[in-house]
Amino acid sequence: MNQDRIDAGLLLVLAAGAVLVPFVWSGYEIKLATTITIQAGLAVALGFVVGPAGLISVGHAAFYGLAAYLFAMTAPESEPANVFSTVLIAIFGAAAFAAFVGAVSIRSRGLYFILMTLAFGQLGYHFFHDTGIGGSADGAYVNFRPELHLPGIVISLDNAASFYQFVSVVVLAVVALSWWLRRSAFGSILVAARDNETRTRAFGYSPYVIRLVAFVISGAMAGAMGYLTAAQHGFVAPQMLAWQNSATVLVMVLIGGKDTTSGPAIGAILLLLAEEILQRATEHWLIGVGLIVVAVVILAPNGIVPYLAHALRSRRVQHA
Amino acid sequence: MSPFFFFVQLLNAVQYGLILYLVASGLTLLLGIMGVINLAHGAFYMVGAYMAFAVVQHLASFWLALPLAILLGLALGALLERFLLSRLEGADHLSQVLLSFGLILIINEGQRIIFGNDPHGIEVPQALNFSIPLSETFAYPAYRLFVCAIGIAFAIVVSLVMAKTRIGMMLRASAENRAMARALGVNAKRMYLGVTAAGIACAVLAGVIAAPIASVYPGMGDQVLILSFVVIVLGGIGSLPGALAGALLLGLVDSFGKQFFPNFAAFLVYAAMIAVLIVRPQGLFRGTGT
Repeated sequence: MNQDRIDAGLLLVLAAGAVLVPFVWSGYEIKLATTITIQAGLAVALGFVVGPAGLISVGHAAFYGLAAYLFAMTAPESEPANVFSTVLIAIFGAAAFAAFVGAVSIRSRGLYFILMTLAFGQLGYHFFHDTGIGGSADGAYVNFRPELHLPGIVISLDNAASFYQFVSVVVLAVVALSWWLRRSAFGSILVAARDNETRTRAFGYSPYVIRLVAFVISGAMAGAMGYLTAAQHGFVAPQMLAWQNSATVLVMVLIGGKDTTSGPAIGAILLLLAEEILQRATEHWLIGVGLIVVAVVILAPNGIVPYLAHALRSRRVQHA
Repeated sequence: MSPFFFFVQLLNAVQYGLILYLVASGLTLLLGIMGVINLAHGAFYMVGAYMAFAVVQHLASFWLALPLAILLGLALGALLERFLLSRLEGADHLSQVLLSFGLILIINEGQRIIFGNDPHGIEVPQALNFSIPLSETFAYPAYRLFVCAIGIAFAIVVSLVMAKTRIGMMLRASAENRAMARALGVNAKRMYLGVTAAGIACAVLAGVIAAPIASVYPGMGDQVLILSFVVIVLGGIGSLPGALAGALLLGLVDSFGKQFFPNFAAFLVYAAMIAVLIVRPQGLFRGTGT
């Protein structure tokens, strides 16, 4: 079977799963599902620049964390914030920072780009950690979950199930946008620039500009996820911006498969579920996660989703 | 400010820079010659520090840890190349990133299982446990001078090997153009094995040497890893003289940054790297790129 069709099929399965969660689970499980859904959205956002654009960013946690801080700093202290006004500030702030980081970093290639994004991410981390803005190492609190102000009705997101539904709508929108962009003409030009820069330039496109646009879109999507995390926990901390966080999301993207939309989401879900299960079994669960990561790299170097697509294709060939 | 204060900071910068060079030289060789981004390099540095701790505790000798570190590093590097990295040859570079990330988790957690979460200190070895007076008020610990001496000796040996020997010639050729070096008869398999073993041994050795200066604690490799990457990016990927210059520069920024802007030393390191890359996107020295 063709990788695109498998990708689309997996996305439908994931979307159906996301809709079913509140009917099956409640309490702790729905909070876990909320966390996993947000991280899956973040992985899809990063996957969009790592895959088609070939830009391996190790600074995306900075966009995610900056948006979270912007929300914590703009949310009113004694009443719930309005989702629409605060989310716009958070996303716009993340996109603006991504535009700045991208404009400077995209001139560098390969490892130089990786470390450039890492350095900017660490600057962001130290900014909130060392300068005293946003509460230093202690972080800052958001006292109320934001409210959804629709025409004629105000929806509270205080309840875990309603917040989960809100999160899944936002994440599904991000996933859909990423899927559509990858298949659009814009996505094709990104892939073309990744694979052959000279020819792409000869066609009249500027690889620098289109990469920058992709980077900003991805940074904005990461920002939306940071907003959701801040709203979920009511708390933000400098660690949200640290490079370890960026690297973990990159691992999710690579485990699932960077060249598909569903891959990063599946990588995030598998990694976080494995963590959850191993954590219950042993205090030293990280060693289990490490072994899983190494096993996936050796068995499926391109990621789980491309591996599945390949396995299904070769079975079909055998039958024919 | 007295000139001696300045001199002590300068010595600190050189000593710190030389330890970074020991770690970064292995990292830059792996990257320049094999195209491997080894995120686990810092974890091997930590392995060295914990090994020094265990050897001092059980064998009551710090000096024994030095040859043992080299042996352990060579063995770990050879195993890493033989059983993991060689399987990924021809695969996307990102799969090596992923592999080494998995290794970090395994090594870090293995350390917690064996040694627990508490930080440990290691006594400076008896023979070097004194200070050399510089003036009436300033003195410099002999052990730190010993670290400087090892670092300088290492830098000289490495540059002689690279410049004068056949192996060095093959390494330089491979860093310059991997495919061409292979076509001219460089045995890639053996070279990869040697480079990985030697590179990891450098990291483990650096961990042992640094252990009496810095304390030994879980996750101590993270910071060193990132700084080593900063070093090789400053110096240009695959360039050993570049790594030395980058390491010393970083030592200076860190040492004087901590004195004059204590809250912003970390900030300065990253800002310095961004500034260098904006002006020279390929590093200070001509690198091979990857």
